[in-house]
Amino acid sequence: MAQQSRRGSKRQRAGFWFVLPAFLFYVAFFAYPFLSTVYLSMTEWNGVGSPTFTGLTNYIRLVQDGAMWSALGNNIIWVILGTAAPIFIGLIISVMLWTGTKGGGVLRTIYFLPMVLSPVVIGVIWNWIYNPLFGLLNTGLRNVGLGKWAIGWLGETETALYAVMLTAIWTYLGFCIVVLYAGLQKVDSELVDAARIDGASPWQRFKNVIVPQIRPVLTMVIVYTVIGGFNVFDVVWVMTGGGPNNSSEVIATYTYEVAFRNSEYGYGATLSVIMSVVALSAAYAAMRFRKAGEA
Amino acid sequence: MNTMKTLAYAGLLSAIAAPLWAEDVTLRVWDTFADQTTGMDAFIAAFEEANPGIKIERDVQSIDEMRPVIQTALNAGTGPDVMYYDTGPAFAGALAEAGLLLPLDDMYDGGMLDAVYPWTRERASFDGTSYGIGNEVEFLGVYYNREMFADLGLEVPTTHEEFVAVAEAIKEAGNVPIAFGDADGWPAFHIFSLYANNIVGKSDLEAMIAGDASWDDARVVASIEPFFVDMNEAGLLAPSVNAVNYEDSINLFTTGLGGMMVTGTWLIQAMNDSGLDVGWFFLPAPDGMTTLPPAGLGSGYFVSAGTEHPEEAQAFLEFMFDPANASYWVEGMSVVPPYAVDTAGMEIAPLTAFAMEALATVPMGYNIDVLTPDAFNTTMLDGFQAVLGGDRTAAEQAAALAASVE
Repeated sequence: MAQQSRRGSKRQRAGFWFVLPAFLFYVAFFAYPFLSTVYLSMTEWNGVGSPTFTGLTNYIRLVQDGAMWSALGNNIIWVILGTAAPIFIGLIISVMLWTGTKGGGVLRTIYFLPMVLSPVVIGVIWNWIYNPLFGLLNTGLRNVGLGKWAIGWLGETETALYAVMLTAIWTYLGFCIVVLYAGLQKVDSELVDAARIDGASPWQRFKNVIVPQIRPVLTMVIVYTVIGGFNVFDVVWVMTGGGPNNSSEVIATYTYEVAFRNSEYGYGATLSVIMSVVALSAAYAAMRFRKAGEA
Repeated sequence: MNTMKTLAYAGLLSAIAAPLWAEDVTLRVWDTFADQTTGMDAFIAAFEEANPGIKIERDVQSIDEMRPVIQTALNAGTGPDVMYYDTGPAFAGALAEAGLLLPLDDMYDGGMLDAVYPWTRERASFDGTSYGIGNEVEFLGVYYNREMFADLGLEVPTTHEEFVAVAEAIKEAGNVPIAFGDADGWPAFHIFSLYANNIVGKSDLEAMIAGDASWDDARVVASIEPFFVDMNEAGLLAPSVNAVNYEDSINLFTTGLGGMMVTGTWLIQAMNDSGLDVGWFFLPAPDGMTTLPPAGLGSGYFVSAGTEHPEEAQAFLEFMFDPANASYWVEGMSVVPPYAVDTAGMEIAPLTAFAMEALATVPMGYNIDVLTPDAFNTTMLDGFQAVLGGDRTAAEQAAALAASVE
């Protein structure tokens, strides 16, 4: 008995040493920076010298900050449209590919291509497409007699956010297609055939037979997109910098401006903390929602 | 045995050579002369030739790249020995306040920088201590396409009313009158500076910048309306002005599609290289007012407080700002250094010559954004886009500017 106990203790010690590197990595690169950010969020600091502890002052300011609410509103629009559109379109395309469209492999590669491009490169390319002077989009519109629609897509407060979002959807669509297509490989085709024999329409087969079988994959894609929607930065920053007049500002670009342009690192940290809390809450809610649907 | 001998010789050689090598110093220099990199490389090569023991390790960055990392790099000891950085209180001033910059009073007081204009020393001084050497003396105005003006029979305007008339004539001819886009936000700063100097006047503008007078002033509103509202609504700027960035504005002008471009003398090199016949005039004040072009410093050289080679860094700066080496700035880079330059014998482009002469003879006003705090500049950035987009009136923008510094 004592020998077994010693062996168990030895195994535990061995396990501890195996876990230790990953634990230290986690502490150094996640826990410590996160806790430092939480501390910084309760300070006033211009990036040099020592931060001054100010308690909850930054959080009170955050609640009263109209620019933050406007940016958060844009994030919510981004999360809703930026999640729904690529998943909806991606689901349709992946089901078409799964049902045996010719050249499916090539199409999957083509759809996935934007994902391998740097967001900065994508932003620059789409900036050219939207350019009001020589952009492909406006030139095309003028050529087909729709010149009155040829506007500065990234320069109008009404269109800038959606123009950037369209770019992001185009980028993200390929990821959705590839992941959902992989999920579809596990769908039992016999169930689909049985439903067809029972007289189910294509929509009924899709909704009641296929989608329930790919729920785990769908949940993963939704969570990933929701978190991405709250953290979006690069494509917005490259294409509009949050402008014009903050119309495409999202929390991440606002945080960057506050911290690095205005040198308000304390308040910037407060925004970062809130961004993390909101993103994690939304992702958790999305997972719970999916689980409730499965029950 | 032979191997032992070889090792012994190698050891002896190392022992003799080591003190010589130890005298070599490498200075890490960060600068922003990306567009004039050939000229700067030549300048540095001349310095290295004149100072055989000092090597320069140059790292060219954009100012936007440098701003977020400079503080961390200097704090961590991985930053440059010498940096070319914004002279404003929010930039070099913040570094000085944190003790990250080496005071250069000894250089100024020791006579090494006697030729440098005193006012440029003031712009790189904080709390009575001089930390840098301001450079790139710049001013704002209007580049124009000489060929287009000649073809359309246009004269250089002398009042703002004539300026608008010239723009309308260019528009009627099917060209973009003023190649101005504000997607980046900051080009609007310069437009505002130009109009505010002409309309508010130097002393009252100085009071506003110092916080002694409010920006919520009828003359500030009058400085915003002509360009951001009236000329924009009249279609005299680039189409979809908030969607056109600075690079596109330059391309619009240098490809001959735009008649005029309102910006600063830092573009002289690009204009000289464009192949276009480019002229320059100061943005004229409205009839009855005095034209006062805004001037300022581009950036300045600063030395890290943590440098292990302060003497070599000072030797580098002394060389850079020795009037005997002015041709590297003026001829090689089209940069106006912060001291009087004897251009006799120099081969300089007409635009550069004009700029040099103007600085010596024309009274200059203030380039506002380099003197105002971040909050004010952010309000300029967002607010002028809003005015251009029709989402904010000139009066509302003046009030917002005032509120940003209260």
